[in-house]
Amino acid sequence: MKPVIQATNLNKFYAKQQVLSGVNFTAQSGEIIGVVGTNGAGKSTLLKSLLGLTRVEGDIEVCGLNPREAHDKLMEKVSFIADTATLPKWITAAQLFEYTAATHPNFNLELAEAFLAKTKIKANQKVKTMSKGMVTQLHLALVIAIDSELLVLDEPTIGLDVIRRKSFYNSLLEDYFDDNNTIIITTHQIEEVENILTRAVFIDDGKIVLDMNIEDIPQRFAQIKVQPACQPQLEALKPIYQTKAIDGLVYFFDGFNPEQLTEFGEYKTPSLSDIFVALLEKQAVEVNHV
Amino acid sequence: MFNLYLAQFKREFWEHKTVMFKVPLIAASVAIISMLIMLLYFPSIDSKTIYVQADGDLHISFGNSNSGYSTHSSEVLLDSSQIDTLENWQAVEQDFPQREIQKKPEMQHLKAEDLAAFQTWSLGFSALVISVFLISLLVSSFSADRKDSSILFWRSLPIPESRNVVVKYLNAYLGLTFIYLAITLLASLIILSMFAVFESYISPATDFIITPLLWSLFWAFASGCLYLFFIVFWLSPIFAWIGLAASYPNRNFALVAIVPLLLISLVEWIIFSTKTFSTSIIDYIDKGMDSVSYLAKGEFGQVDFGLFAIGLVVSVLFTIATIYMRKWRID
Repeated sequence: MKPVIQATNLNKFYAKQQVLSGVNFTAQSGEIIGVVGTNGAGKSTLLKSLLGLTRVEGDIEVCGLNPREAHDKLMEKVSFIADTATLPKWITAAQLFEYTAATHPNFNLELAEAFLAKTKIKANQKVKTMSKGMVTQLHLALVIAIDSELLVLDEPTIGLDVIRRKSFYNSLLEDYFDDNNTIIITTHQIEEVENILTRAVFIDDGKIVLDMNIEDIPQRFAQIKVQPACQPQLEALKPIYQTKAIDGLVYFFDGFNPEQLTEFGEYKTPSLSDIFVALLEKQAVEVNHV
Repeated sequence: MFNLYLAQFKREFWEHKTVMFKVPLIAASVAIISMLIMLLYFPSIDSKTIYVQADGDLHISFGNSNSGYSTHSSEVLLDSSQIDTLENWQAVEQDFPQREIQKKPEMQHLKAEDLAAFQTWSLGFSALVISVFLISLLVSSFSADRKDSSILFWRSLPIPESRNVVVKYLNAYLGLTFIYLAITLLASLIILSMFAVFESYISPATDFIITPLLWSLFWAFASGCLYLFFIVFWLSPIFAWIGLAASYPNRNFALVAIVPLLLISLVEWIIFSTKTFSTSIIDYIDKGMDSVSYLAKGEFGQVDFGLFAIGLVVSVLFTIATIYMRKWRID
């Protein structure tokens, strides 16, 4: 099956600063991909390049189209939420739906209105009078009502409280996602989305440091907590990262022999955020050694 | 396709309702209310009592004059021959006599060249007012969505940026001009109707009726109001330059709009000791106003349509540049 996204050797410079470096990225239909990185890592630049919103070197094909050359055609197949702050302040919910219904061939007005009816947003209410949570709900109503192949979410829940964030992702899965859609989410709050992801991509300093399916993580990464007395033996196994816990030391391994670890205690699969920190710290150590 | 453009024009109207509709509506309302207050508060006076003291015959002359049209009436209030002694003269109240209103059929109409002059003046004034609104609208159109980041939302919809930009310009040239004209004509009609009713029925004491004169001026303006679109498109290269300038910076667009023009003029003057660039711009605007005057007089052969076509081409080039500028600035 042809990938929804195929991006090869992406490079991007802002002045002399390289923000994307040799990035290869693919996405298949039905995936939910989390793109994780620190501030300035290149997450948003990567997404914008996939949507044709920024010029980038390399080859990109999204839904069979060149995003830069066929941007408006691509937007018939792709929905995009930059963040909750991008809806125009002067527009009302009714005007937003009316305009989208007139200009987007795949927009279902009834679906959008049905979703909005579940919220407290009034049709004639302007965006500038809405709370951040309400703006998110309005934007989500718009996106859910568009029958798109790809949904790109760039920090969609930034500034929202935990209840609104959970509600957002629940609605996304219940009302939008089916096996034919693909979702790409960039976020700092990886712990919120790791339960819904099928794949994780870590990006740091414009480079991809990890790109793997969630289901493969337990076979590759392990975390073990031990007493300080075991420290020399475990360090001999070359962990990628270690940290202190209240009652001992925690070691992280990338590629491990289960038989070697079980003698020290019970190991478990680390969370995505722990893996992310571990990999970035490992990189930092390697860079310092160089 | 028509629905797509209609939706985009509606969007522009919703976004810029204040400058496109509310401001001219408020201005028109203020004019109507001011005229109403003036008519009600300062009515013509049917009778007046004046106190005079004289030691002889008293003649009072009250004249009403308009260009070339005047009336004089004089009333003898006191005839000294009827008074035995002036020492016994006493102040006498005397009301102005009621006069029969002479409904003169028409006031003397203005000559055709005077009406054409008025038409040119009124269109020129209207063009000046519209230009101010139009520039304000274009600056808002091309910079507001970048300032509040909503451009990322608009770019997430399947609408080519070229169509976006063209609609913004056409909305300014056609939509704003049409709304301004409609409100101006409607307000003028209301004011004239109020004046006519007042002059004819409420205050019949005037010696002459000026309503017909005002109506002829109104029709002179109304019959030439379509030339306003011609002026707007004549000035479109300047508006398109402002739209292009507003697409670039996040603020201080005026600097971006004005500084290049000043620099070119300065460099030309320093190197070539000429002022061709700056005088060309001024001449272009002057010829636009002259063209309106020729159109008003029906002298179509005098209009420099060649220069008009060049202006349109420049306007199109600036429009294309605006499209690329907006695409580039989102990077």
